Amino acid sequence: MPRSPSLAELQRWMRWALTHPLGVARATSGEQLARLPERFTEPPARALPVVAADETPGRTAADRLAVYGSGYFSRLHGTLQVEYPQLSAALGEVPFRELAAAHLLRRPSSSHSLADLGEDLAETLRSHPLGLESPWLVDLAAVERAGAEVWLSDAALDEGGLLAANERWEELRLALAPTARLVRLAWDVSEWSAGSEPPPRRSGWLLVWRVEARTGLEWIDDGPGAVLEALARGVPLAEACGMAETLRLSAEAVTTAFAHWRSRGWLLGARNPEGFFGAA
Amino acid sequence: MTPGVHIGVGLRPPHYAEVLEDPPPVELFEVISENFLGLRAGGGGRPLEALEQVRALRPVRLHGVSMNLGSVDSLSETYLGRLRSLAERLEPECVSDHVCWTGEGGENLHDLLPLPWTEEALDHLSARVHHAQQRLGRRLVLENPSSYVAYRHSTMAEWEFLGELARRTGAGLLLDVNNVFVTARNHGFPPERFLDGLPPAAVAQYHLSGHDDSGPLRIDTHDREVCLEVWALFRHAVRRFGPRPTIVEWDDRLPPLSTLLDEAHRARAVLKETLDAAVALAG
Repeated sequence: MPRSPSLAELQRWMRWALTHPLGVARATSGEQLARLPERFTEPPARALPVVAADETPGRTAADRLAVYGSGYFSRLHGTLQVEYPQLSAALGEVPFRELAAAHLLRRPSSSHSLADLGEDLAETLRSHPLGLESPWLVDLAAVERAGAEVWLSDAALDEGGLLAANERWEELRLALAPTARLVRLAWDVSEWSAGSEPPPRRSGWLLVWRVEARTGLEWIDDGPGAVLEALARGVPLAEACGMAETLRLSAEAVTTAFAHWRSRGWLLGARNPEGFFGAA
Repeated sequence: MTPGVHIGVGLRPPHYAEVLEDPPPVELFEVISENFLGLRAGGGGRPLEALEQVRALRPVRLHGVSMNLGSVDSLSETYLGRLRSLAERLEPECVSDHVCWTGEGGENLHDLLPLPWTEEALDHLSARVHHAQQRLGRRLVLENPSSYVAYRHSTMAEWEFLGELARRTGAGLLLDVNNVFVTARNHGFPPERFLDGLPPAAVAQYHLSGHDDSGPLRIDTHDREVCLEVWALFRHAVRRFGPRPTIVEWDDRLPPLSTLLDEAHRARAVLKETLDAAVALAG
């Protein structure tokens, strides 16, 4: 009788079997499998013999493991489907499943939270045949992810005022509110809905925001969007103004946009080089 | 409401608005801890804002699915730290998780995977429960998961393992009556034997839910009403352990809140009937 596996050996083998992209039945069948990434090489301590089973159809060791194996994929696929309803509708059921499978292969979950699973699905899509065929879907995915992120981010109080007594306006730094995300787009997916034609090509930015339970999107043109993105990165105000000048934005346009961003709560108060909210 | 009987439901996001608008006649709510720990970067976002409003109405219990207590990976100090902060903010009646492992090698499978019932696993789990309790600054309550796989090299029964784990760590047991039934059917033993083997003082809470019985294995789906056999087993549990806070869970194919409340109402009735019968018998 083979020796019993240690807890570590058992768990390593179980993880291998349950997450195998070809499914538990084929992974454990002993057949020669197609070439897969190294992490799908069967661990040396095989735990299949210690799985208790009976011979009733549907209750063999492989059947029992398959409950967990199919649960693994369907749970994670379902999570992505909930987070990306528009992308899922745009792709259709089978292609979205293919994308989910590719994402799990590229980036298996390493977080305690399922909310992190879809973190960079847009990146998976960018290099996937589905994304290469319809690149606007990458933008759609990025916007849906931004929506999930603002929903799960804490609101911050804008307690900084604008300038601390000892600060000069040129050095003023601002921060994008945690409940706002700025997404760079090549396609205007902001009004796309399931069943519509693909959206038009249009370069710009989309501000995705949340206030309490309300969420929204606002289109921002290339120039102002680039300035907002720079401010969000913590570029000092004088530098951002210089950038606006280079982009040939009028002083009036910059002032209006800045006032709008502040009034909507997307740009938070002063931040000096020593830290956030550096009020004197 | 009956004195000493605390019944609640697992509260899921689609029901928040209704609960806040018209608080239902239950004593408590249980929520999934991870839904309020936000993203990798932290924070609880809108879900936590809403939960704080619920917390102002009723006590809550935090029920986790990712502590990964049985894994050979290190416990996540980040996770424990965040859970502690959440508990400090919400002051829950209790913090619970499962007797299982959820991932290995840094990968989270997001499932409640079964442990072998061996001395090695018991030593390993006990040390980690001790650590988690210390880190959280509170007693943990641990649930028996449903299982589809059992291991030939187990050296004790699940109930013996749980009883000994509770004895060594001081943790309470969250007795999921549906899970006992599902596990018993899948591994071919009478479910009453599981209950009769547990130390009564360790049982701190009950869970009730529905499962799928259409295939060769019973599957714990949380997508339907509690079945008759599980209600009968719940009566058996109440006779043996007495009243404990009881939560009805429903996760998939979530029905209107009223359906969950009907199940909670039934749990209350079963508890009351069983206790009344016990009193009558004693008198």
